[in-house]
Amino acid sequence: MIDGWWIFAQVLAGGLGALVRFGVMSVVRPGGWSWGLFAVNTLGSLAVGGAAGAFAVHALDWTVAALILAFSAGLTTFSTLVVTAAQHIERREIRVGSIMVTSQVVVGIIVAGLGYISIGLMLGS
Amino acid sequence: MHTSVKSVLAVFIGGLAGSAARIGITLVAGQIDDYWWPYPTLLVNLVGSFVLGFLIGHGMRSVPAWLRLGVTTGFLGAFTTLSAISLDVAVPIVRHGVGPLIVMGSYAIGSIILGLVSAIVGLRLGARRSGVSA
Repeated sequence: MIDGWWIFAQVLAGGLGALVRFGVMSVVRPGGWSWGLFAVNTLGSLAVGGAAGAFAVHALDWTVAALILAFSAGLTTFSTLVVTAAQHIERREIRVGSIMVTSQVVVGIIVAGLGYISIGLMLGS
Repeated sequence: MHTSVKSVLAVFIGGLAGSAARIGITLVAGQIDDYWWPYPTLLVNLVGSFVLGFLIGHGMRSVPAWLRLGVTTGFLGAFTTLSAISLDVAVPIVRHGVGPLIVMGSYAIGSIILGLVSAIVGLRLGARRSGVSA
């Protein structure tokens, strides 16, 4: 049920996700390729896939799954990804920018799917 | 207060605000209509990409570093999301096979192209506003 506490918990989880992203991206310094950004986007996508898979086989309560989704939404980011890629494109590094954004979106979708399937299989059987 | 502690607090508070704004838009969109494709996520991602591009293009040189981090990494980072795209595309394809592939694939490709366009327009407008090249 969506009430004030549910929204508060979701917002708090998102804020914590942003904090973890900041920590990871501060430690994994950006070089030619933004590995810190790649790491948080991939881990967050894997987490939402796993949470959705566990929820689908009734192994995870909806409130816990929703908190994992909220944390992952704050952990991952789209704007930093496309602006970093756009800066490459503006510097005429079109291939780097295009591969950066496309690979992260595609890898995110694949790991979310794998997380959904594998957690569902592990907990559903 | 030490600058790094200030930055961490700014990112956390910005992250709370960005999450609240995204959740608010998603809840309002759910009240307005029972949407079947995730346009609220596309909307927040495009708006957030444009605004972040504008701020980066502008440079925000008169803004303290901790506040820049709070707005960019905190607010806009948490306002936009990649995991929602991953989930919204992957789960229908896993559950229903290739049926939703065209619609959800178009959504993913559209997010990439429109996101890049939003970011580039933001970068150029921000740079023009500050009088420097992006």
